[in-house]
Amino acid sequence: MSILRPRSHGLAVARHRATTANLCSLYPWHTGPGPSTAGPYLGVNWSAGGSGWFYDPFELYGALLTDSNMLIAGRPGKGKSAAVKAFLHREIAVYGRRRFIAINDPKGEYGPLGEALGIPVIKLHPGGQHRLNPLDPAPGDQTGGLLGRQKLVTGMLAIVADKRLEPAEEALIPERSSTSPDDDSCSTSTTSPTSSQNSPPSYSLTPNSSGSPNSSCEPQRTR
Amino acid sequence: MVVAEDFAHVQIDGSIHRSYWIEAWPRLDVPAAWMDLVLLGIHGTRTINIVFEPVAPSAAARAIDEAAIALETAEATKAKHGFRIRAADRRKRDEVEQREHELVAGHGDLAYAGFFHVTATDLDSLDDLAADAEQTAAHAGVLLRPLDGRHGAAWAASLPLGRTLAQRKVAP
Repeated sequence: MSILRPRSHGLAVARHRATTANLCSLYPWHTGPGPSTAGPYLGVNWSAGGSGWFYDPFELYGALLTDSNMLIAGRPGKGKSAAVKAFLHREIAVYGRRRFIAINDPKGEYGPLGEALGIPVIKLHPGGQHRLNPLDPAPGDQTGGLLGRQKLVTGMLAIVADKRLEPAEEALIPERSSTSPDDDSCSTSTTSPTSSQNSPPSYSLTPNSSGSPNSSCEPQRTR
Repeated sequence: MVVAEDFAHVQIDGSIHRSYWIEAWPRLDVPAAWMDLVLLGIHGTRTINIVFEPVAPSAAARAIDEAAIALETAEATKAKHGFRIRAADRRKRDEVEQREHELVAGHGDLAYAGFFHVTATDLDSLDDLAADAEQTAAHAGVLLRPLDGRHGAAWAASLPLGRTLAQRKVAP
């Protein structure tokens, strides 16, 4: 054969012809199956041959991920919000209370999901029932957050006074913020809506359940 | 590097390669992710490479003209002598028109040749892998034809060197 037709350099084969409108589907960068099957089933992984897509960020910590942010992209009406809700619902279904879920919901669309999962819904707005007290200890704060609260008060005072506090003034703050009456009970109590009309709104993380109107744990603003 | 070329495979050092030319691509409409099966559905060492050769816009337009004229002439002849126009004829006509639309819209015309290579360390597993590849590719609408007797050159064509295919005058 090679005598009849001397091999030119390279391989001789017929070519197909097509325009780039069709050839763009020759896309090689498809991914393999997902990183793990641990976690709730979320749907079909189209870029991996239609296998299942399982995802739980905490399962992937350490081994595969150092960070687990997600981006959910899609055209309007294609189910992005539904995907997020399904993800949260299934996280709770699989892991229960071992997964802490906090949803920042400016559109107010997660209310029914929160109710179904038993997550308290807190609505923060001026004049509303729920308040956020900036002087509350942060969750998981072992020391009671005294130092943080002092810094916060210092910062607020500096903003209100429109100047840097003098060292002497700063030295007074620990006295005030640590010796406020009923320091422990204040951190979770709420004020009645009426008392907030004179003072600027402040918020407590706890819903207005106790309803004690005579609480005095509002941050005191100086003029 | 040691190369030992056989009729049905080529051995290069410790690995044995068998190469296929992609004779037919999917003819039906396929979803965008149709290559999943070919790329990921075969379990073993495999290489897919596609060589593209750009066609000059003038040559692409000329090819469209010639194809359209040939088809129209054939249709006229058939009509004149009382032969019916078959579905295949109509489809050819549609495809030429479709391609012309795409070229006018700014897409480029390309000549391309696709290759599929499987690699194993012994002949038995190469045969298994090759059978798996042929079947799976057929499921995806890709027809593989083994490049028997040319596996050495075919393996070289899998290298990203750019000049591994014999120069060929692209049909105008």
